[in-house]
Amino acid sequence: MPTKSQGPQIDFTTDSLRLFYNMYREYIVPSIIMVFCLLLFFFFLLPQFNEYLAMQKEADATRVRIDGIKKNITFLQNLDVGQTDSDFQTVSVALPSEKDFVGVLEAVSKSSTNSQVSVGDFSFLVGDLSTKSAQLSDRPTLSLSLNVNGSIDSIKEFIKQLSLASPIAEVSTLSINQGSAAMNVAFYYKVIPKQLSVEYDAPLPSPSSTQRKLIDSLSLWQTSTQTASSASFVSF
Amino acid sequence: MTEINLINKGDTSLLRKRKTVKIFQTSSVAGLLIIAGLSILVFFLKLSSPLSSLRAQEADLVTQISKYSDTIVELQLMSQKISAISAITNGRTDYSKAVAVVTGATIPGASLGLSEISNKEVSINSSIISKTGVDLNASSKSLLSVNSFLDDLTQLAGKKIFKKVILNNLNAQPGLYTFSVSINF
Repeated sequence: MPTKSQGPQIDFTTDSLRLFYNMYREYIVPSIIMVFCLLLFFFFLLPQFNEYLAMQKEADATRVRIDGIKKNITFLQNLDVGQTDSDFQTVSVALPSEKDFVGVLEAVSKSSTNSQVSVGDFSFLVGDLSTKSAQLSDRPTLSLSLNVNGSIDSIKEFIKQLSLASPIAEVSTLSINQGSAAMNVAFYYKVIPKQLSVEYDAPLPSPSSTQRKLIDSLSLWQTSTQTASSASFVSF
Repeated sequence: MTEINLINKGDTSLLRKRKTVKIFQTSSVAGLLIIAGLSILVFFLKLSSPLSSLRAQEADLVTQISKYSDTIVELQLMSQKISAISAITNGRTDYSKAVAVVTGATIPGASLGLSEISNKEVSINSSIISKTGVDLNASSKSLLSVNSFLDDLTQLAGKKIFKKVILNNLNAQPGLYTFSVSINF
């Protein structure tokens, strides 16, 4: 049996709902329309407008890419392909994509011939090309340990000649004794990444004047090496 | 005197209710019209966007430039390699100072070398030259000559030819003094 102390109770019977509808009939339909409008605004119109803004942004980015591609096409059409191939060949010999044993021997041979030193014992510190460190390293090297015999001036000239040689080399340690020197020479190479991403719209690089001079000097050394390489092996 | 209000209070509330209903109805219709108008506007804005034609143009240009893919790869690789070569050649160690110390020649950039007494009376037994400097093992019959040699080196360090000159050890044997020096560039 219900007690009187439970307070007022809301009775949602059909009659009360009908009474509520009859009382507020004029407000209900406009209210539903306004709620519908708000829902349309937030869940349809606003996303559509944001999509339009994104399209405008994408259109601007596409225009920039198109400009870049057009410039690159013009650049490529005016490019001297023969010269580029030749430069690429020169640079690839100077900084090969892998350990270039023949190139290293030619460089040592040519340098020793030009500097009038005789090359004694030498040994390669090869390492493992397949290791990740070799592939990930920015400037991996092939180290060569060698002894040369000659006057101090000849040894200095040998180091100078090595600095001009291809593959690019650097004397890492040098020990000078009377009439001879022992040295470790690092010959650089650069591993080409397996996957190269080609961005057609990115500005294409062309050698600066300093880089052009460097390519020319590398080319000069390589040209003289090719002509003298066969004879210079005698000094070994 | 008693005042009699002739305006019916019930009618006022009815008028107010009608006014509110009218505001509600007008607002809902206006909202509906605004939403419809904005929807049409956004539709035409999206329809007039040049994105699709730009994408078609880009695809056409990519087809044209893809003929040059090999040249582009060549240019990019060449650029990477030439930058690496420049960095290597610029970072090379200049051994001329070290060789000059070891051989007793005039040190480049200093217009002077070791003194005559140092050159004649101190003999360098071994030397290891590296990127950071040179380690010398030398010997002399006279302690005076050793002192002269070290004085020459410290003078050159004072002229900023070297950064540091460190005497690692000095051994005295009957009639022979051997010492080891590290010179940092």
